[in-house]
Amino acid sequence: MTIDPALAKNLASRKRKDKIFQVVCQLAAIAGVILLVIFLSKIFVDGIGKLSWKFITDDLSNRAKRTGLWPAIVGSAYVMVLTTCISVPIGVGAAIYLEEFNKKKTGLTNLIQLNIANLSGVPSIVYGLLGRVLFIVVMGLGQSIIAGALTMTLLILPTVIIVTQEALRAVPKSYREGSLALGSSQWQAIRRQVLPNAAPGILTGIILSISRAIGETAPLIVVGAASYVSSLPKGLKDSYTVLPIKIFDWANESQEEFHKVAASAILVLMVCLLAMNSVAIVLRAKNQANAKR
Amino acid sequence: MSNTRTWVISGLLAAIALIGCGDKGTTPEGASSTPTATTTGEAKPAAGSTISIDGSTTVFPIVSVLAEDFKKENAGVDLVVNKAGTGSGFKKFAEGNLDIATASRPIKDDEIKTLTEKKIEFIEIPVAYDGVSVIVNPGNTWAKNVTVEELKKAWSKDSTITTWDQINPSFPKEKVTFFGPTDNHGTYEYFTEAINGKKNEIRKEYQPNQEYTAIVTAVGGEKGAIAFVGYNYYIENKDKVTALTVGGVAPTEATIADGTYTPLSRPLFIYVNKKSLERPEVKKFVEFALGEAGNTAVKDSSYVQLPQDVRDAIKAHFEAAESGTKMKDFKPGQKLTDVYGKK
Repeated sequence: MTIDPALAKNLASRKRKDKIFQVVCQLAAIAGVILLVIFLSKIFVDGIGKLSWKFITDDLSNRAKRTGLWPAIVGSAYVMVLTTCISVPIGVGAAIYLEEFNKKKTGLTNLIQLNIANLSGVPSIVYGLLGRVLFIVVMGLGQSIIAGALTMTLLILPTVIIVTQEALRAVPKSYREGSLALGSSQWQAIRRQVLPNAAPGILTGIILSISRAIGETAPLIVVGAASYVSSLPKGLKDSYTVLPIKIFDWANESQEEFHKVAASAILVLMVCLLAMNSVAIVLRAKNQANAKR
Repeated sequence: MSNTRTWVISGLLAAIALIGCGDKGTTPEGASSTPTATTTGEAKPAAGSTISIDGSTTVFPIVSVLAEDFKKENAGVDLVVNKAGTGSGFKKFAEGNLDIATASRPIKDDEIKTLTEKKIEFIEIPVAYDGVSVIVNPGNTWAKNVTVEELKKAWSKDSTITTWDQINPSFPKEKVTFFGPTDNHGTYEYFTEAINGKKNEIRKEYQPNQEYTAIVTAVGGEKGAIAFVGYNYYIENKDKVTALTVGGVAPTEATIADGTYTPLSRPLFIYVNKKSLERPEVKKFVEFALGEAGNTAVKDSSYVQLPQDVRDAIKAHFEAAESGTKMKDFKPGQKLTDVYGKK
């Protein structure tokens, strides 16, 4: 069997290019992981020394040796819970309306839809400024935990709506039709058929949105999360601080030792985020398994 | 299917409850390790027992240490300290949202005007000294000292200087890069006034940064760099940057406190709302700051303590409850006893 030499050369060259492309892609894939590993190990080495149960449960201090993290952890938890409680009903409700009840697709609902899509791409600092004007200046809520939570709600609401819509859309039409054909009302069809099937998607979306919110710093600086609070927030209108704010502050302190404290706080924040994300994964898996039955 | 729904709902509830319980469940635990928290929880007086403080980033470390020490002795009082910047602090002070505004420069005329319009009276209290330090890269072997004139030549508004030999002919022809804080910092304002003669005027080629650590990092990474930062940022980063002597005087605790490090040594302030002083906890806090605790806080945050005679004068000034600023005619380098001692 003889091959035309020109053809063979062409083939070899194409195979070479193929190989090069593959290597480039591999490098790209590895680069991301390597950067992450370097970053994480640096943080880990810096932060692990300071990390202890005492550090987690102690009050804040501006003396690096003495400081704890508890008020920031509690503040973050409060903001997160409030944000969830406010954004989930509104977000899921809006999505159900847009997907299930909004059959006519009028100009108005199209405009709303377009706006939501655009809002999800707005930088978080803009939400901070909006929150400052709306909740602090106009509504007079002050630099309180509720103003922070409402601002965070604004921030994650578009994402919650969009993921919920996508999850609803993924439920086959036949489910709704089957239910309606058996004489159910639309609400019954949504409640008994659509929502349970869309739930894994919705839940995952919500948890991922919340874990984005927990790491946000910029909008909370603008709406006045404090740098030092002497005690834990007790009510909705109390001052508060959150993990990312303290990390930001400590990283900018003049004393080197605070940078280590910042690293420890990053570890705590990352454990929280990983825990939330794994809850999302587990819930999703369980629900999918259930839905298949 | 209802099985799935139960899952979802219970999952959501569990998630919320978990987080919620995490709060409630662990708070007593945290409280038991810090007894102060328990007392606060129970004996919290009505609204208004929170002392709110905001303003200068530079003064923040001092005041937050003070707040922390005060809290230990006065468990029933809550304190919130923020650091939006001197200018932003005065703005909030004028809105009536603060008991105390912190400042790394004296209050300005237009700020006083706004406060007068809002009928807010205040007492001015210097709490520490800071020496704005001129820092360079450790690899800079040529420059050890600069004069105020040379600094002015380099930093003034119309400066076209790009190499070190233009600052002083004995320096090599090495590129010079200018760093410093952004214009919302009191440090920026003080430096431009003390060096360039006019507030807030600076050379065109200048790389401002909101965060001092970023300035220190930049200077530590560039051989020809020069910058000005607060004394504590220099002293805590001595291994990364070197400070130049200004007119032959190095920034040290002694030279800053006695004013020989002139014109770059400056006082730091807190401004107390006179109305807030009617609340015993605010009055107590200010007295606390004027006492030995204030000195400790200043030391612990690497600033320079006020000399005893200055502290006595300021204490008398506070007890006389004299409102308004005394810093109007203050010249950089002037002694504070001359300002607050006079009747």
